[in-house]
Amino acid sequence: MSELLQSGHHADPVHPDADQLSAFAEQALSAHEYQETLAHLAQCSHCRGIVALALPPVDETPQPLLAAPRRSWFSGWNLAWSGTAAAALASLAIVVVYLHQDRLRHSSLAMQPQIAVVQQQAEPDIADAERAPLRQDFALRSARGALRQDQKAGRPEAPQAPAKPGVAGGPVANLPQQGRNASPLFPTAQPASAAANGGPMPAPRTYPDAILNAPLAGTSAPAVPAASAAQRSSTQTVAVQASGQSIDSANVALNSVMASPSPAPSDEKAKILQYAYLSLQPANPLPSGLPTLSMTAANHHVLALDAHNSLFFSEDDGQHWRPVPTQWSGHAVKVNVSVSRPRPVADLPQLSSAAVIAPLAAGAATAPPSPSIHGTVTDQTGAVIPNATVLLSNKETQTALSLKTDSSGRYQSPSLVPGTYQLEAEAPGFQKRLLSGIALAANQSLQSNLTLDIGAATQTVTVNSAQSQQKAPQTNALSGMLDKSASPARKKARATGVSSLPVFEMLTDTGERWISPDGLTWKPAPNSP
Amino acid sequence: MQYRQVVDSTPQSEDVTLSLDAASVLATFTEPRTSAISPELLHELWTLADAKSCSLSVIEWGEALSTLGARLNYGRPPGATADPSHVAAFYRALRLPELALATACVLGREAAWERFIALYRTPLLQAAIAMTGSATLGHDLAESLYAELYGLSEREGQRRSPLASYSGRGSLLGWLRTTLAQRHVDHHRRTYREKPLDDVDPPSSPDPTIASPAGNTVLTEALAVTLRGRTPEERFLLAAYYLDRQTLQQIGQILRVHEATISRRLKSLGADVRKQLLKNLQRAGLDKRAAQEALGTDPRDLEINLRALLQTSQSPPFSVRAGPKAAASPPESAVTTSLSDPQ
Repeated sequence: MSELLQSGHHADPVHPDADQLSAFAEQALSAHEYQETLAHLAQCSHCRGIVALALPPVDETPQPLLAAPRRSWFSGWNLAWSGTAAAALASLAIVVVYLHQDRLRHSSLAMQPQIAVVQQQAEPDIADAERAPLRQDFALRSARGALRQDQKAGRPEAPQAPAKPGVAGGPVANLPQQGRNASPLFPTAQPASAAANGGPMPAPRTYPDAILNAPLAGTSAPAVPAASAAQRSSTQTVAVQASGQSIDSANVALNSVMASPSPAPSDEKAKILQYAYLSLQPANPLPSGLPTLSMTAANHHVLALDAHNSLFFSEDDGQHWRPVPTQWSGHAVKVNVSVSRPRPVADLPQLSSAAVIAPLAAGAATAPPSPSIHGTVTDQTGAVIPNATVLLSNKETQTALSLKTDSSGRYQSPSLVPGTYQLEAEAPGFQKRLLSGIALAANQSLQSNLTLDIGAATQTVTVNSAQSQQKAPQTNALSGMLDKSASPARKKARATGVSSLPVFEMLTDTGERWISPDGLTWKPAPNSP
Repeated sequence: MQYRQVVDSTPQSEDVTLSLDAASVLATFTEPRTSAISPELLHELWTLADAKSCSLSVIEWGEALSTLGARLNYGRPPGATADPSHVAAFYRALRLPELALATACVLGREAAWERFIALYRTPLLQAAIAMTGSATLGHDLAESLYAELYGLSEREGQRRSPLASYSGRGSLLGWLRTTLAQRHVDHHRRTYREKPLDDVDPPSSPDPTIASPAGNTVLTEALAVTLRGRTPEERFLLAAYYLDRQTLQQIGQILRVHEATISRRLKSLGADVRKQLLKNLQRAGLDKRAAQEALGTDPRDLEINLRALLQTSQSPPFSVRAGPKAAASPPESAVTTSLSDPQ
């Protein structure tokens, strides 16, 4: 053993022992001992070698804590990050604002497609029409809830508003021209008359621009592409009802709100409800002076129900009212229109096909199909042709009906008077096809499929109808019932060959359903409880 | 009788307090050695060291601390007087648990040895294998150290253990590693001396410190003056880097600074030494141009014993001669070197 390096027993006392060397390596010596050891190590290669040899592996050595570099707050990277963050925030704000505006746009424009659908749909959705009363009831309840919220919010309270449960409390507007214009949603000058009639009139009239600027369906409604099934699912029912004579404006407006693909903000919805509330103001007050509970109109015939469940009828667009004697046990809570007939040829230019067909959709919900003609328009390859025009004319009665095929290429005529008809189908890029000599008997539903050839629209292909007709007889209990009606107006209509009078319906709070062909004489519906 | 009671009275719990009589007896008995340690401080240190777990009594602990403090003058410079605050600070700064363990091992307490083996056997074996570069040699080295630590060697009839030199200032593991390194160097020196005669190198050139040529005398003198003017740390850096060929990382590990700091210091140190050397050359009578030419002399043409100038020990460092760490280091070709920039 080396005397020199033996721990603690140095032959040369100058050399530090292992304890001092290890303490030096661990910085555990006092200042003077450290300097002494360091001075010795500077001149003693032996001790340096021992210290270097005794060093632990690098991974075991605790690294000295280096002072964290002080970073200046103002540096290029900081600026870059700040700029990036600012850009991100700005982008986020733009997206949020855009989404908010888009939501408002959706909520307000949701009603426009309904009007367009009314013009373009040739075939009413029977199932939706059957569900329409339920939706109207729900809409009424929603409107009532909204009105209650308005009242709680300190808004003007509707005078003599009924508080009876199950009865809608909102007044119903008088819509004299809605049957022709098919625009019951947004009447033009209703608020002023409503104010004159003493109806509820909220002071601040801050309607959404989209509502105020919504075009009327009868004038320049924006065209909507071929309505898809998805689009029809939520809006078609409302649109069909809106275009027909069984219109409850509040219902339509509320349904449009509920059918909006994106839920409108609460304030926006409140505005829409407020507008629907105002749109129900009649042009002339009812004889009772009470707000209108429910109202329906068709062909200048208006049936209205006031807040006391009294029924009134008008044959001049609500200018003059006649009370309807009560024949039912309960309280009338809702009026509706179920059936309509095609109009004379002279009126066709003023009507769209949907305006004629739409009432039939509502009528289909309550009556079996009448004599009618339906079919599918296809091309030579068998592909359906949507939006094709099908003109159905009766030379005997000098009436004509313009139809349009739906997205499935189908068309469906309303109830027709038995006789001989002529079908004329045309579509852009196809030759016009004429099918004449179609004999339609009573209680008969004819199917007539049309195949169009590619070519100019000026070309016409005339086909004998005898070989293309397929019989599909169906019963028509309603038409039979209507034939028994003997009202003067209906007789007059029969005499003129035009059966355009509606069949009014009325629901009571006891669940009874009464019908009337003229609005004055009522009888229980066949399937009414 | 009373002394025996005090000596044998090992506190049974950590919160035990010495009674007044016991403390007075302890103070009376340990007057020559433990006068600087108050009973309260002694008990505090005894508690902090957890000496009870090492089967170390308060008296034994006090004697060990007193001996240690006297040997190290309580951390004060030689000749300086330590007041009680210095004494207390000195003792509290020690690694008391490790010191108690080492003290108990020196006294041959089995519990302490069991703990020592459990704590340090594996690290010590790993360190020995790392130093020797061989598992066999490492095991041999570690086992021999164990035997030595256990006190198999006797001197003057008493068993002596190197653990008695452990002061507790550094870690016990560091002390063990340093001791292990010393034993390894000692082993190397013994085996180095046992080379067969056939392999003995022919006699080397006479003393490398032979007189330099006359042309280099001025440069040698100026260099010696320059190096002597450097601080111990600077001379350590120069010696460790240029003579021992230690890496920047090794030097930084010894001095507990980052290797980048060592690199910067060496670079600035080389520039300062060169500047100072230039001044000394000018003081020696050379003009500036001649001094610069002298500095520009190829080191291979110089015969300057820089080792002799820089340190007292003339032998090459151990890391250069042998050892696993020296294997990758180039041998020191000559005593000539240059103050090149650190890599």
